[in-house]
Amino acid sequence: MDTKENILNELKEVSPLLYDLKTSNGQPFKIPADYFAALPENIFNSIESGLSEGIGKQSFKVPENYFNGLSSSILTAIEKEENSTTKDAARTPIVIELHQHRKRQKSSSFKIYAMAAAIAGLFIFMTFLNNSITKPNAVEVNFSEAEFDFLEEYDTEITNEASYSLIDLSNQSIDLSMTDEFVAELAVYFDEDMNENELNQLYHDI
Amino acid sequence: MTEQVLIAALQDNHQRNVAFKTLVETYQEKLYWHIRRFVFNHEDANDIIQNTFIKAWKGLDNFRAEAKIYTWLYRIATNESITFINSRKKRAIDALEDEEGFSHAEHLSADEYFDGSAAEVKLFQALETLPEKQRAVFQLRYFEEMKYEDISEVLGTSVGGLKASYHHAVKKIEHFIIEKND
Repeated sequence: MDTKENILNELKEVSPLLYDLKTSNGQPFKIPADYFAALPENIFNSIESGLSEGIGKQSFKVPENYFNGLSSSILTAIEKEENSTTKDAARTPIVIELHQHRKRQKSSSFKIYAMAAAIAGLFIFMTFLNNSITKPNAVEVNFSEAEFDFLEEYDTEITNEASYSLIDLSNQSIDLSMTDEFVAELAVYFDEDMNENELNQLYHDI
Repeated sequence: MTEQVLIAALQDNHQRNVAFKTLVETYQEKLYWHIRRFVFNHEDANDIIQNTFIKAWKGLDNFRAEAKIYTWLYRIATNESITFINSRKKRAIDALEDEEGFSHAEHLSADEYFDGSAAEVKLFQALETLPEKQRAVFQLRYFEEMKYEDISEVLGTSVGGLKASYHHAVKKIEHFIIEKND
């Protein structure tokens, strides 16, 4: 049960200092007199004035019957555009078009080979780089969707105190690279002296 | 009025106004204090609570009857508060003010609507240092004494994640206060 008593006991266990602070102090913030008595009316006034002003309504105007003629004017513009393209194509001599086609084919094949070579080079370089970096306490963990959400939630925390990199997002597989300090810190929070495997198990339990 | 009756009344156009007034009267204080602990200042909290209820009013048609009204309202209030804090930070950065090192809580003692101890000022200062979601988890558990299951509905996060987050936040705040006392 998550009663008030349990919540206080939980706090007392984790931090007696915050427990004392919570139990020995009242409400530190003050409000103007009769604030809550007037609040519902103020809220209704805001809602009503917002509604009369037309919250979310379109405040821009268009000429009369604009939308009635819009579709036909768009179609006319498309037809016009298509006709002019056909006329341009008809005017171009076939010889030139064939010549240009061959030229384009040649240059595009060269571009494809160049791009393939560049990608292969980059891939080899990245593999070399990845292998040369040593990762302390690296554990590969496969996460369920719920665990993945948990990690996402912890994004800010993890990036502050440890580094992690996504290997394959689609398979929800994550390579957690944690520093010894972070592992030790997490272990303190859970009152256990955990190693990476136990930490891995903890993520699974959560 | 039970929650089910209230939800039914809110979804009925003829009863909506009366039911919404009941909703405001029931939750205004809890939500106000929740918002106030985020933004500290009464004027800002007043604006945010009004926006919260205006958004709730506009979202009544999309409210799912199986959800709890109070977690739904807390979700809106929390999001509104976080959005406000972020826009306040952005405004300060745009105005070339050093928002990173600035603490709104530090100026609480000068606020006529604040009557807390020095230890409480430190607690609110510590809250400002937490990441926004961790801060929300802490506030909902520590001040609102909310169940993890309900916090999970408010923030859309798993209970396991929330527990770890809360413990982490408590430790950080404790560390901050001890450091400030030294």
